[in-house]
Amino acid sequence: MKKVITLALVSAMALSVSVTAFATSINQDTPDPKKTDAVIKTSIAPTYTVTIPADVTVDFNAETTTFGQIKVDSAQIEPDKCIKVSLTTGGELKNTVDDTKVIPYTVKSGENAFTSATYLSTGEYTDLTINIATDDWNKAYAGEYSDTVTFEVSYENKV
Amino acid sequence: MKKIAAMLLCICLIATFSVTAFAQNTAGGDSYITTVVPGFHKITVISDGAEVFIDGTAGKEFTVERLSEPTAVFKAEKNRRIVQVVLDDNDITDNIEGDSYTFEPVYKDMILTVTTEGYTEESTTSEPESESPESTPAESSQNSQGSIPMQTGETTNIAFWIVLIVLSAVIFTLSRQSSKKEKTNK
Repeated sequence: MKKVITLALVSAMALSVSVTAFATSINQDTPDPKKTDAVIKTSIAPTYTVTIPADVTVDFNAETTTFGQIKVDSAQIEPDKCIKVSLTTGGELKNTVDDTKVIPYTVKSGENAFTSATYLSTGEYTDLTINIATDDWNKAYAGEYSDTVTFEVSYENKV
Repeated sequence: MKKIAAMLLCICLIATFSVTAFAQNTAGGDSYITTVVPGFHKITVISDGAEVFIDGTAGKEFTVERLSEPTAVFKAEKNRRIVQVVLDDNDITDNIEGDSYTFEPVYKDMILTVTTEGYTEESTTSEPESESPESTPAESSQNSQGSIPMQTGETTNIAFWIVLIVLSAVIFTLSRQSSKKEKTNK
């Protein structure tokens, strides 16, 4: 048992042992031209932080409601990569008592419906709004309505 | 003791052993959207010279169920007639059938404005001062222009007739008594 434990500990020590780097040497016997190259390497793992909109309550009869923004708070990504944020939504607020009663809505960025966007650097953002048509409000039955939208953040190759 | 120290040192080495952390390839989150649609709306009536009934109840403010279709009945006061009815900014005077109007499904608070004007119905009876028996005191007062209107609830005529009856009874009794005396004397 002791031998097993000792073996395990020694293996751990061996894995954490630093490795000596041997430099190339030049002397009078080195053939001309007396020069050599040293390669410097490093590796930075990509990181990013994206903020998505918080929960929101839409006022009754409001045709346009601010929905916050998608924002890249920090990004350190590879040159050939991008951060993609996609939105998934059913497009209908459903009555909590009778889900056959719905109020259609659209999530927009400016004048266009928002489905996805790509970002490359820190600080980039997209303002979003929730839009409900007046006719849809006028036909809506009384009650509480809700829906869930899902934001998916992915790290992808640039298109 | 040496063994324990060696063991502890080895454990520390394990703890400092670095592990590569791989970032999650995809992430995200949910956001919730909510709203509340009210169950009732208010209809406010602005009228001078007319009464408005909604579903049989008179008043100036009504609370109706959302998407319901209540019926309003308009009743002008005496000597007034309705000339215009406006619902919010829409003139619905022509849409009134008889004296009632049925709302389309109510989806917001609304204001109903009723405008009236003075109105006198033309009379075909004789001059207001005439003492025609067909003329009632009310009609006489209504049609008169310059004649003295009769009071309602007048009692002086009744008192006159009561006095007359009593006096007649007394005179009759006295005359009967005197005739009896004359017969007796004879």
